[in-house]
Amino acid sequence: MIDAILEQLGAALDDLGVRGAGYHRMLAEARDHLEETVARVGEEEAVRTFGSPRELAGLVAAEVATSRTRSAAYATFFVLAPVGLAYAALYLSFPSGSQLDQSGGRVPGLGLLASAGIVFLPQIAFVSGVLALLRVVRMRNRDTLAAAELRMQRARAAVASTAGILTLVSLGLFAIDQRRIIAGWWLVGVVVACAVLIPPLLVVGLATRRAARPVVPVEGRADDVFDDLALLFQMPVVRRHDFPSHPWRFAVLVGFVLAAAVGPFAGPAGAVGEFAVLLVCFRVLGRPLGLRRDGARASCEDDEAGAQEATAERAL
Amino acid sequence: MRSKVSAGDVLKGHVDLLLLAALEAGPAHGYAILETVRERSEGVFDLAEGTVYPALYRLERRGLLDSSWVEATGTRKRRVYRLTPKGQAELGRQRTAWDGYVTAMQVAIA
Repeated sequence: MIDAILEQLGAALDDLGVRGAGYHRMLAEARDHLEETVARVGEEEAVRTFGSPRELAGLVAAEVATSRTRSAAYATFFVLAPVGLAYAALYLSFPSGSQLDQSGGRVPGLGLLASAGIVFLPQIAFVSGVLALLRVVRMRNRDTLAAAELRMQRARAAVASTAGILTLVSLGLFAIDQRRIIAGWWLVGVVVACAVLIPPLLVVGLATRRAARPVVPVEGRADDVFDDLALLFQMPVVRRHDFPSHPWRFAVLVGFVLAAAVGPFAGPAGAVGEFAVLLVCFRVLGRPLGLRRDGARASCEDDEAGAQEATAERAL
Repeated sequence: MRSKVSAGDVLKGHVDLLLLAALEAGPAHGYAILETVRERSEGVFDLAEGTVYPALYRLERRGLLDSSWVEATGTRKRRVYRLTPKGQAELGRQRTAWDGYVTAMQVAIA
């Protein structure tokens, strides 16, 4: 009977994507536990008190997925930090006075494309990485998390590491495309940065993907950026704009602020480009990264707020 | 006769405290931890036995426990858990919080 239970447990763990060390450890501990219980209370009672193998496998899968997702998010941020430093160093040390020809390099348009990547991708990596870190720190003491929440955390980490890799690739393409007119030492710096920093980003990307393997049977919703920054969004001056229900208002506001910030350096065209790219990113990545509140939740909260107001009015 | 309490209701949220307290006396394996909880509660806290292992994994991940395999009887291997200093501190913190909660409840329902 013990073998049958262990077989069911093994099959359930395998079904839910728990393999490797976690799988073997759970089965070994379950075997030890059941053998000890059988010796004391008999087989039937041992099996009864042990509980459902499927339920137990679900708890193990949730624990493994939560643990891996947190580790992947932390690792992503800490690998992105040196990428940010290297990017800043290369950006600031770019030889001034270089007469760039962004549209006339060896491959037509490559310089322009790479330049756009150099400007926008680090911003995506930074925002996603910070949001991923913020979320895992905020939820560090929570027990196993819901599948939707874990998916959101992994999405933030994955977007951050992918944007980090593409930033370095853009730098590399730009340097190669313009190698005739930029200083040799800068080109070497870019190549070294790519060679040193892309492999760890690939590793954390794979770790994030691996964290998605266990199937988590825990239901529930994922938080969003309005939960992450609740202190900000609950301030009276911010709250009255009701950004959670109207996230596009928030996107437009952030877009204006960013455009105003880059305008003095990049000119009107750069400011408009920044604004447009932010809105595109908000449209494409808003839901996966939790920048836009789930429609059902927003309308539900609107209804609740409306009901509370009506109750208050009646009371008055 | 005392009624048994399932992990799904009152116990939920306090399993960590029970497990940490059970390990305060010294290292133990999963079955022994459950026995300690059961004995100390005079059979009231009857956890679904298998579910204790994911909880132990979670506590270990948080650095509150550590564990290692030891040889048991015959060819059996057994995972033994022990409190870490961080776990000891967390136990103290959770005990204080629990005492405060119980005192407040007693006053509130008196």
